[in-house]
Amino acid sequence: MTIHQSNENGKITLSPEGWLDTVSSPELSNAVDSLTEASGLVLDFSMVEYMASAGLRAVVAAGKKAKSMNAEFSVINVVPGVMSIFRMTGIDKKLNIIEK
Amino acid sequence: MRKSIARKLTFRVALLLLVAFVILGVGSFHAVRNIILSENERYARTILSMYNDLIAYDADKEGVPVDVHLHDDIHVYSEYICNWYRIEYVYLYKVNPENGTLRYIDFCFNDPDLNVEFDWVADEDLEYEMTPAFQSILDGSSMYAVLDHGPNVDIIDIITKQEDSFGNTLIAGVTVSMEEIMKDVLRKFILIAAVLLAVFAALIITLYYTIIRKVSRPAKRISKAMTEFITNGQRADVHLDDGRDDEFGMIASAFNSMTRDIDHYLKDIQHLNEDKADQKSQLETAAYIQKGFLPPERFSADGIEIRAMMNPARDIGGDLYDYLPLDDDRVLFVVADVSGKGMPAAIFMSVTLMLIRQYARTGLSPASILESANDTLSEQNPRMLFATAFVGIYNKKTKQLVFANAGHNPPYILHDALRKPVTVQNTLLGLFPGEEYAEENVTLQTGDVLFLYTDGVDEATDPGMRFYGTERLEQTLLEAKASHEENIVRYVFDSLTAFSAGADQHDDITLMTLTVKDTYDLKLDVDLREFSRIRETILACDLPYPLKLDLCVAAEEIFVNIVSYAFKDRVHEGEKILFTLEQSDRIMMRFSDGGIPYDPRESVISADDYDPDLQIGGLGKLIAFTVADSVDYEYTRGQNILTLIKYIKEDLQNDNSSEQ
Repeated sequence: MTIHQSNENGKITLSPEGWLDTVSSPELSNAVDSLTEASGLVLDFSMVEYMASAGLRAVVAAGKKAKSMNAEFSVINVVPGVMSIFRMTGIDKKLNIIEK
Repeated sequence: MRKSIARKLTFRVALLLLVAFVILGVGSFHAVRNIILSENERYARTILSMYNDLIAYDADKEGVPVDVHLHDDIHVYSEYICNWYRIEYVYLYKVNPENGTLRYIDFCFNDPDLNVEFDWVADEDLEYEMTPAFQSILDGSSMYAVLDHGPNVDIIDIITKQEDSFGNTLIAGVTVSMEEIMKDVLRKFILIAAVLLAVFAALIITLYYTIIRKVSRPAKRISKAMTEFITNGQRADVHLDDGRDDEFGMIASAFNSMTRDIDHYLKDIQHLNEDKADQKSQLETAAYIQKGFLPPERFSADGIEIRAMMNPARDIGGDLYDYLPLDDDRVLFVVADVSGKGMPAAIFMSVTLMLIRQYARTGLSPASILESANDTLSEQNPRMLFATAFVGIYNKKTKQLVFANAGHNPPYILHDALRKPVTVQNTLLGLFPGEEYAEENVTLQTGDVLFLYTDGVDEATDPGMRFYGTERLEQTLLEAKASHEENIVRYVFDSLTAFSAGADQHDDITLMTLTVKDTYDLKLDVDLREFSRIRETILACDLPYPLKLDLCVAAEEIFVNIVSYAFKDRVHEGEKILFTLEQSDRIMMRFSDGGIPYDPRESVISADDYDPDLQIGGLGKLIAFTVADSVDYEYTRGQNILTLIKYIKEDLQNDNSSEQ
């Protein structure tokens, strides 16, 4: 899986591309862990068509990381299939998840 | 308490005797009275004739009747009579022929206490009141009796008359004291009554005991014997002494023969019941054997699943279903219906079943199987039994169904809608040798359900004799499909049973479904990377893409769980996880592992309770079980077997968002 990263005035956007499954999710976690400071953290999921619970955990961890950095956190451009995973676990109510 | 017949009868006889006694008493009293009267009349007449004789004698001696000289003789005689017969008064008059008045001839009395001098003169006219008694005598009566019964007197006066030899009318009277006589009579009467009463009493007592001995006791013995006969198991032992020569002897003899007969009949009935039970058990065994000819009601293999049932109208039936894997790819299946039902149909059914199975084994096609079976059955079929049959061979690899129909109901193909493959009906089996059968074929799709049945289904009736009918059958099939029924055979049968509740089952009912599946089996190492093989398998299915992604998520979560936890404490070198994916009208994913027994359905957190800050595990199970429409787990032969079912729905795009 490839993770595209962009920084716009301290607002960091991570755009994973591919399946966020058990095998690939640690890559997203690593990318988030490597961040030291940011004014905002955005996960752009427009290129994520699949997410398993491992990916979900990476998202939750990213949210915590953003909180520790006092950065605003959001997941954007979420496709319906992935959105349903957020919904069935109730994470869409805890984090700022925006459907495509 | 019942009254003794002896008492009742004795009481009645006693009453009767009492009445007889009273009548007898009154009657005899009158008889005694009459005797007294006639006796005293005789005395009076004796005196009269005596007097007459005396006068006659006197006249003969003197030549003239000088009756006055006779007075003394007469009086002596009167006194004699008086004393001897204890008569109160005796008197003798003569009627004066000149003026009709009475003249005394004699009078005497017999009363020691009465010391009166009577002032009377013989042969003088008597101043006498003409009483009705005397008047009656003078008027012509020969005898007149007067009973004078009063407070001071109780007498009988008897007056009689006679002509003497000189033409004079003589009247004699006798007065008898009834008091004296009645005392005597009463004494005799009481004696007689006492004797009579004693005789009666003896009679009654004898009667009473005779009845008891001759009637009551035998009756009781018979009653006791009857009770014993009913309650005692050893009926033949109950026996009455029938040696008596009366009616009870007859009853006893009748009773004895009755007990013998009943005992005999009971034994007969017992034998009959045993025979019946024997027949029933034979029938049950036959039914058991027949059921044994039929393969199990469920058959599942890669690419195909068969469900079937045969429910005979009686113990045993003439319907059959059969299936037989011919090789790795081809499966033969048969549904047939023999004319009639019960044992004859069952015998014909068994032969038909074996013939078709045997011809199928020789590699014949469905039409050839029917032709050969028909020829063999028609060869020797004197009772002209016949069968309808549908024979098909399904090829799992090509999904092609080749079939031939011998007069049977065409099957349905159930997918999202119902359709009937074109079938040529052909001729029934068993009647016309040499018949040729047309063969057809149809290509089935994954998820198609071929539904076969016998006419016991559409011809089933409710208590109002309405048919179940094909329309209702089609509707039921579509309902089963819409509600994702796994066992359509059971669903249709339940619908039939509900429809015809309370009505007799007229005909055997046979149902069969053949479901076309795509089956994929994977043998996976205990390694997370192995999931890619599962993913590839799922993605290769002919299914909507979003559904495939859902299936992947569910499969991944389960697989990761198994890899992470099932073999935690063990070396899992060489261990394998088996994954089966089956696509029919639904998707089934099954995971089998030899790890620690664990039912993942336990403690699944719900989305509402889930707090991502507290729990990070358990999410996978939640996702997998939410995606699946049903989850089943069992632990058998050391294997955790988890089965997920996902229905294939029309509105797949909106499906996920509506899942909650």
